[in-house]
Amino acid sequence: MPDYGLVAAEELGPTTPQLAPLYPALPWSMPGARILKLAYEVGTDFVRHTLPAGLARSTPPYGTLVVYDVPESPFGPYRMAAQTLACRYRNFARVYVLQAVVDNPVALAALREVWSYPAAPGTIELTDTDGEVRGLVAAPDGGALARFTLTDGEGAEAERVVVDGELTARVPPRFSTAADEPVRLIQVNRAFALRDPTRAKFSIEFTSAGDRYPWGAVPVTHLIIAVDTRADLEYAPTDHVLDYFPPS
Amino acid sequence: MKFGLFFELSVPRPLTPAADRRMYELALEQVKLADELGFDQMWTVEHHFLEEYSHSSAPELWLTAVACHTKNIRIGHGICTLLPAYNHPIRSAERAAWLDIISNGRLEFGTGRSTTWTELGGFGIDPDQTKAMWDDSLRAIPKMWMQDEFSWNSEFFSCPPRAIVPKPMQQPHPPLWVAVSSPETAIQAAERGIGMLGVSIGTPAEQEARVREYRRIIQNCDPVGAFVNEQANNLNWLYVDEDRERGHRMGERLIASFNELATKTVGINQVYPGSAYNTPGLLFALRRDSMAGAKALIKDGFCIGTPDDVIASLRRWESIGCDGIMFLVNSKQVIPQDQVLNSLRLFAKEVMPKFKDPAPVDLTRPGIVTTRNMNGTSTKVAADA
Repeated sequence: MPDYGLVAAEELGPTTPQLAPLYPALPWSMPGARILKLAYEVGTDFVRHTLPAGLARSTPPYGTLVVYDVPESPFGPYRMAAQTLACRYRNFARVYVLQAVVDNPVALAALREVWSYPAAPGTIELTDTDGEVRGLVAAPDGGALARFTLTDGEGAEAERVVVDGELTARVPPRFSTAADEPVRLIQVNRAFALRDPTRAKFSIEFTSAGDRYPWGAVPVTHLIIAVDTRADLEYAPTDHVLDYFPPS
Repeated sequence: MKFGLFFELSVPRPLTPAADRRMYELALEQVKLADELGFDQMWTVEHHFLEEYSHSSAPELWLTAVACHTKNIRIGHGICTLLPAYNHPIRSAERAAWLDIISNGRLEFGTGRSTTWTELGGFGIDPDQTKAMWDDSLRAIPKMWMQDEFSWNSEFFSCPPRAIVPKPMQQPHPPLWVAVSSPETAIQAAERGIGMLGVSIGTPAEQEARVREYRRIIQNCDPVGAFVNEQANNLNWLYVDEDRERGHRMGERLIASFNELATKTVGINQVYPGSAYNTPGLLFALRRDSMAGAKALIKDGFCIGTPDDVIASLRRWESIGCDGIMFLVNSKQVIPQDQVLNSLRLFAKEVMPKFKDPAPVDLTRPGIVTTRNMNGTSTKVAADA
């Protein structure tokens, strides 16, 4: 009888290498984070040609730039900025994550591998001066992807701030000659405890930085409002792996 | 108990002028039949930019067509949006007066403000201001109808002394209502002495406290009009069929279609954190409901099923003090028109007679007298009006 190894599947870490996984298994706790959410309306045709088949657009179509400034996480501090599009999965209001940049390589790997997050390396600068919040999202070569400014902030109630659940598309690796695994939609299972939010007017400009960072493709047509809030975050294993296609 | 139809005027894709014309013809056929069958009221929303969900962007025109094709049914704005950027209050008063004249005194003037970013954003309106705008217009319009010369000077509009003409057929003016989707607005309706037009579809248990509070507060109201219109209506679905299983199947189709349309809209609370809209909104309710699956779409108090089922549901609404039920009978034409009409006929034959009370309830109290409207309905009028 072969002398089999003794490690059962459930004993493996969340990722390889087995003896030194890049990140711990879920849940991940991230207290004291800051979230900026900038909401804006987006061109209908762009949304129609960007959303997966199982997701419907809202009326009007809108999107958000969401910036996470996380001082404490299993991967250390990190910042992330993500472009999303509001959508409906069946009757559920969700956002579909288009693209993101993350400034911490371990967080980048974790978000990509666990949540299929469409993240790439990049940097996020946030500056608070004279009641304004300025932000710059950039590609690794410094090419600007998003510049934004929040002004005229005023207090808001935490229970009035909605942060919709995020969906990502999980595309299985195409290395097998067997029947393809289906593409699925994954709902990022992230709980928020929001506090001390403010809402603000804002300006925003998206630009692309080469083919890998097409942030300028998002056609912003009308600004809605921005929210700046503190939050404790908790990531847990997902309960929702969803069909990519609409019901027949 | 009074019964009415409630029209969103939804249109299935592809969205073409012909599709809108088809919707108009079907809706008109429904309301003409309802008039012949003895339904008391019909109501129509005002919405803008809500493709598929509601093409009722000029309800006063549709209601005028209804008035010209019907004889007895009350013609309800459900609602006329009292935001000056949508409808200048003077224009609202003028159009409503004309509609009351054309309908020979059958107008019910429902009021409200929008609840979607889709609409408010489209007109560039600050969501935080909508309640104050509504209140300002609501207080001005009855004066336009009653005063020979009207003048106004507020944060939202001003007018030097002018004669607003014509005056409405119903004197001193048509009954006033407000669309109610939150406990807060039910209280505001009561405080102002106007009807409560419940437009969130819930169960009797969910609405009972709201109706009770409305009844309590309106006893000491300060009416914005010349009389107190103490009436509580609630929105419901309607599909009646001799076969319960078929009735439920069609009812589920109706509700699922409506929910699917409604969830595509963007509620104010979805994107705009503020205190002006105190309830999570329709989207959240539908999201919650849809988690339970198709069979759970039909809830306690919904008027779907056999005539006996519907009678039992209406008894529940009657028991919590509802004066009227407004029915959504189709959505995006998912139910064939002949079946919608058959449902209305069956309702009129088997259900309606059970709720016709020949003796109106005496609602008099000190300072308030009950008067009869032209169509036989009653409203409470201040004795010194």
